[in-house]
Amino acid sequence: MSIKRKALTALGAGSIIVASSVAAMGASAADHLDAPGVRADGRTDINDVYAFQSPTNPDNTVLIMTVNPVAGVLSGTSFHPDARYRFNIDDDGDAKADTEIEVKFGKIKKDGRQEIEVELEGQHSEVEAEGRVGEELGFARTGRVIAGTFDDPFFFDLDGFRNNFQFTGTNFFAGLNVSAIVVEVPSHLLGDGGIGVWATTSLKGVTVDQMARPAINTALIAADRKDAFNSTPPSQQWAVFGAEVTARITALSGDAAYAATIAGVLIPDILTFELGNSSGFLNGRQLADDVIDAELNILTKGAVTTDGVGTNDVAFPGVFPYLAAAN
Amino acid sequence: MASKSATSNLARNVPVALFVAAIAILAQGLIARAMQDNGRAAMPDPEQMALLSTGRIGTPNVVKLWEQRVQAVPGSATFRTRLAESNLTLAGETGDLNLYEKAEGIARAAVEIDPTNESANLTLASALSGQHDFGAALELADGVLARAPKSVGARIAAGDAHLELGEYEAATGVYTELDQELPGLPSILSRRARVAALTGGLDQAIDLARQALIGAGEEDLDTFTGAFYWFQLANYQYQAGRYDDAAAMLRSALQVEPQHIGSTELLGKLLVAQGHLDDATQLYEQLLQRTDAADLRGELAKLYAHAGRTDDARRQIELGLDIARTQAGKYPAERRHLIGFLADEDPAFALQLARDDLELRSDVQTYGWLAWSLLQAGKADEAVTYVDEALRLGTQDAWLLYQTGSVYAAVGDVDRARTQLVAALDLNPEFDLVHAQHARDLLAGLPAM
Repeated sequence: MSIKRKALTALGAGSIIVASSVAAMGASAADHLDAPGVRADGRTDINDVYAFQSPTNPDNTVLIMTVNPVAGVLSGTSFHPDARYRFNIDDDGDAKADTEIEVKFGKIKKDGRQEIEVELEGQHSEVEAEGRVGEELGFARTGRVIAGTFDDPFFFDLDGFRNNFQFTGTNFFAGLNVSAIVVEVPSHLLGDGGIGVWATTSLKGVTVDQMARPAINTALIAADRKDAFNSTPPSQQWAVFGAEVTARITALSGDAAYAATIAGVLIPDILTFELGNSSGFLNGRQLADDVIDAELNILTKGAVTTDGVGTNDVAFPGVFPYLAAAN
Repeated sequence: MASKSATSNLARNVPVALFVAAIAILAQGLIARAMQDNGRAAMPDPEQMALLSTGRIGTPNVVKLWEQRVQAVPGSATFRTRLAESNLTLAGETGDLNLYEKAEGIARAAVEIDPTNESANLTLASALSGQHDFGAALELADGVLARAPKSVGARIAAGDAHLELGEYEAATGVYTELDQELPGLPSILSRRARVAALTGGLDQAIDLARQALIGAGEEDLDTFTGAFYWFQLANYQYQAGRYDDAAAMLRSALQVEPQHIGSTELLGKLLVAQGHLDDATQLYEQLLQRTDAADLRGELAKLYAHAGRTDDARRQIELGLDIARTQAGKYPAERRHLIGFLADEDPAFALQLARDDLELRSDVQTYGWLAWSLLQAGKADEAVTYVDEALRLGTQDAWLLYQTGSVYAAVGDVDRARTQLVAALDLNPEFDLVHAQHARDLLAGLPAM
């Protein structure tokens, strides 16, 4: 049921929450019987995924997943108590998870907070932590975990994108918040060289959302296929979506051979990251990386170089949890 | 005292003391609900639904946020659409009818900037529906569907417009299709419940509304939307005369969102139906300290009159008539409420409004209120010509059954009058403080079979 709601439209890099929520409101206001419109559940709607070397401990890797687009405004700020939030890590290049970091949340308590449970399960290790949302938890000796509401680190001229790439340099996401799960772990727990990272949310064992690199689903998958993309494991994505993505990039770049090469890089949708490497996107994704400019360049073969938004509206703190405080 | 349309954000709150009293009255319904729910899927936890509002900034602040964005980027269709949407949300939360017109203006500007923008067009359609211009809303939805045939929002908007226009087959077709594509979606189940209620399937409506509520309990909804699902179920239970069940649902609705307008008003009707007239009087008095609405004054007048306070009742009616005269031309969306009040107090005015309403839509209730207005205006022979239209769906609604039964009685069709009046009283025996008794009197006065 929830998966199908994915197809409704898109807001940001990975977000699906939509304006259609009001599409049917007010139909008979005087009667009070007008039913609400269709709404996506922001709690399981992955906005963005980040993977980078810890700025404060080079032996650690930081993984961040954001949900609840425009938290507090279009979404709430809680996490779904029945959902599983998962970072999937592939360390042998088969696009299948070898290590999983799963995060679960309890029901909302009267003070508005939730309990959080984090578990890393790899081939040779298992680590757990428990606490409450908003609190920094120790994790795997030198690691840490926090979940809560933060400034949305994504920056993008969404309106310009919707207006046929007529960018004005307006950061739609300035001053807006998201809910985020930030996990910093000793890198050796994730692998010993290159890894692939993607995030998933699931309910009752069914994947609700899946994401790695920004805007792959949004920009390259047809509207009526987005749900299918979200539920197709990365290991099967090339077989199912390779031709479609190649065609889309061909249309954007005007170069079929180029498109075939690029499609092979972008599909499966996995954030590839060299552990211990401080470089940014396409090596993982750092908070300050201008991923939209990078992807515009790649997808259009240089025809569109920038959306005019080069940085977040507030500075990133440089220390755990690396995200700026909520607005 | 400000008008309802301008100030209702504080208007229809249930004061804390009254709410506490109501809880005591309603508590008996919990037992009934527990028995009803035995063996079914678990009902949502209203406390959890209320707690989902934690961290939300509230619709007035959402409006301010998008206003700032529009000021900063006047050429953005996206920001204007968001601003229009938030005004519509605020309209639904507060009952401020002026906000629909405001939202319409903002959405029109967004459509001018980006004529094919789906969200902007559907938001404009919503704003027009809120003002009961369902034909224009349908045109906009159809325009979106021509470009995006699978658009869920556009199909919902089109289905809703069809429903209000009385085009039930078209509406049902849309909802059925969406239900097959998106099984279990609360907003679609809710619409199917409404269709079921209109087409004589009140038990099915209750079941669908219950399913919608259970689904809604799994979603991250704002409190007004969450309360709606409890309210909708309560409303159908009330229509079916299941007052204790309805009371339990309303208690949860008001726990989720104490300011939910529909639930507050339904609580007033329920208190009357349960015979808690002093509590009902207090509820209406306190509502009217914050707002002015002709129909609310009408309900209070009935309670005063019942208590022998005839001067107070007359005063309420006069005030209600003043409001009705002010609002009638300005707010088509308020028309049906006004007709209900005016039919008792100024039948000629009610008839004028009922005829105007038929110009906008031809659903069964429009015909019911037109027939009722004609009857009250002394035109029973014309009234009876609209009864078949009013009853064409077999709607199980006590008011509709009473209206049509009264018309039949007036034209001497005793058998049909008896059938309708018995059905009304069987269904919802205390549907109105005055008219339920009138229905009983009318029935008793019919010639023996």
